[in-house]
Amino acid sequence: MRHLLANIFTYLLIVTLSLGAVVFALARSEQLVIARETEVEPLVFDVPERKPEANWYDFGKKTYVANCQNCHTGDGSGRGMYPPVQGMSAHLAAAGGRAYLVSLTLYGLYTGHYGAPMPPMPELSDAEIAAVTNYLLTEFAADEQTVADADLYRPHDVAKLRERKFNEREMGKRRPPVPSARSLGRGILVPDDPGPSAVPDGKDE
Amino acid sequence: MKRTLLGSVWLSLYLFIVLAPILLMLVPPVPTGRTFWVELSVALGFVGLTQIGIQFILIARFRPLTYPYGIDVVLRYHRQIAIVALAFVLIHPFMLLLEHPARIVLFNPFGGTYASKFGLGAVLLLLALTLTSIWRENLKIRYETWRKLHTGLGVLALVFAQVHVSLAGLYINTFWKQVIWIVSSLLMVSLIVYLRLVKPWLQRRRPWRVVGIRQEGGETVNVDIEAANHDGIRFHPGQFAWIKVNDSPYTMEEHPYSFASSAERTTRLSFGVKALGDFSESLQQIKEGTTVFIDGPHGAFSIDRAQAPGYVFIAGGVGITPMMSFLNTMADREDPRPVLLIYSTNREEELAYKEEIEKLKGRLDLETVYVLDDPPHDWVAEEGRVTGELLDRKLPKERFTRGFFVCGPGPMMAAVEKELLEDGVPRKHIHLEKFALA
Repeated sequence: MRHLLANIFTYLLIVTLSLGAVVFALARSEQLVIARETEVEPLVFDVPERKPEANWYDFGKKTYVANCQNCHTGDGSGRGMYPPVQGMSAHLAAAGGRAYLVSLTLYGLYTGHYGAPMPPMPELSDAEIAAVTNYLLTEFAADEQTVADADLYRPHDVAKLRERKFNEREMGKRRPPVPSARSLGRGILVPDDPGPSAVPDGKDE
Repeated sequence: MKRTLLGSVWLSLYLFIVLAPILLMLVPPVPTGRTFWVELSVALGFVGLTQIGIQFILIARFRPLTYPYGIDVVLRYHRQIAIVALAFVLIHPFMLLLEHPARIVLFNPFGGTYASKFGLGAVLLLLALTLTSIWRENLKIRYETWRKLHTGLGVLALVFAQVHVSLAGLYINTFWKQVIWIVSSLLMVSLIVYLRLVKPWLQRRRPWRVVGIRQEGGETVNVDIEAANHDGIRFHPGQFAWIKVNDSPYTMEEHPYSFASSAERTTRLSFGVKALGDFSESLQQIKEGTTVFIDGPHGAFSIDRAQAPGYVFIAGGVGITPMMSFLNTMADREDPRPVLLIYSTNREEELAYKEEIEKLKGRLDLETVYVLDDPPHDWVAEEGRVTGELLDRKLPKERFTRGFFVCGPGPMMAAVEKELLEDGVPRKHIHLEKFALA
């Protein structure tokens, strides 16, 4: 009798766990976590009292912490395992660079230099991608780099780039001729570089 | 009543713990939801890891935990859920790969990232763990070697999986979430330390000495042990314990044997050992005065857990051992209830404890039926196996109210249970101990 009851429990548990995982996946993929343009706080449960003030810096930071920090780390250095996202404003000046920065978030990137491909993240909304790219450009700017307001991204800039579809390797080939962090010493300190440094001093171990 | 309450409490706690990671994942900041297949893969990964962690609690032999269900049920569950956890953990990387084939670079042990390296390692360790357990005999791994291997692989698999989650986990993106997962994994690993270091340390004040070895029938040896300077243990008739034969309790070599002695005697115990492997063969050569440590009692196979107006004990081979405990205990308690013992072996020489059983007839309302598969020419009693036809003839008229206890080789127990159920015996009255540890 004990054995029969135990078997019944086991099978019921397996079914419950599988269903639980499926329900979770459905809820998450249908974006029950809300991140709308008019409300800058990603919320699990919608709270109507939230003021729709556009604080793009905070929004970008939140998006970075929730989606990017895991690999690119909190200070943007990537700790040698992932590419640093520091000093990216060099791309803004290069040919095709503006589109490149957004496209690689949308379609992923794999150049073979780092172990893992950057996964495509088309599920991020236009506002999130714009905010997080702006966050990277301003927060992790190299000392000599400043980004003009006019150069920052708007959500409609992102929307325009969603039509095309590249895979990760194609994105790797589309990289503009900006010195890579690897060629400058893997994103760690670059003490004697005379030119505009792609990596700010003192932010890595 | 206390058993049912405790059993329900553990089940509720268990359900909460297995679903808690999914709830924990929804604590902000939550990453933007990715595709269904990615989210499903991640959910399965977390659920699989939780199951693996809980395995450590299940095998720690905590009596309050195992007592409501019986430790044989808990250990069987350990094996069943291991397959399920492995399946979830295997689906996790392959689902991610199918969703985006560029991720194949993460399957390279020399490429990828540390997160993927540790994940790959965890999967391989889990596969090794499960396959060496399922096919231990086919792979000709000795039981003692296998136990050490199993512990090592289990701990390594959990550690690798935890490192993978800490490095890869998009859902573990805050300090406190990391802390919860890391501390939980550390707690699980510390259970092994508990089992191998703390528990033996607690046992070392309670040694036992071998005071008698008696040859019984059928290559079975009865070993008597006496408590050395402590008050022994209280057990229910029919329970078993893990026996360690060593001067110190710090050894991994231990084997489970049922008590054959009366539960009314707490400082002098007997158990019956059949030579089935290296350990039991050496146990049969044991000398008087040897020190022994026991981890017990465990088991739900007991007449104390199933009160009935009478009993039928059906034993096959070495399954007679717990029955002896039942009979000795009932005799010591001067129990007047009627008992029918059906004892089945292959040959007459294999009948163990025959003199003891005959002597007990003077103290109990005991009727015996010996069944031999291969009887000598002058055998007048039953021949063959315990079949439905034999049960029909031999079972008392009030068969539906008696408690049935069946113990023997797996196929024999299954066949007897089937016959009893077909005969109309209520399932609640049939008790088995399904004991296959490795």
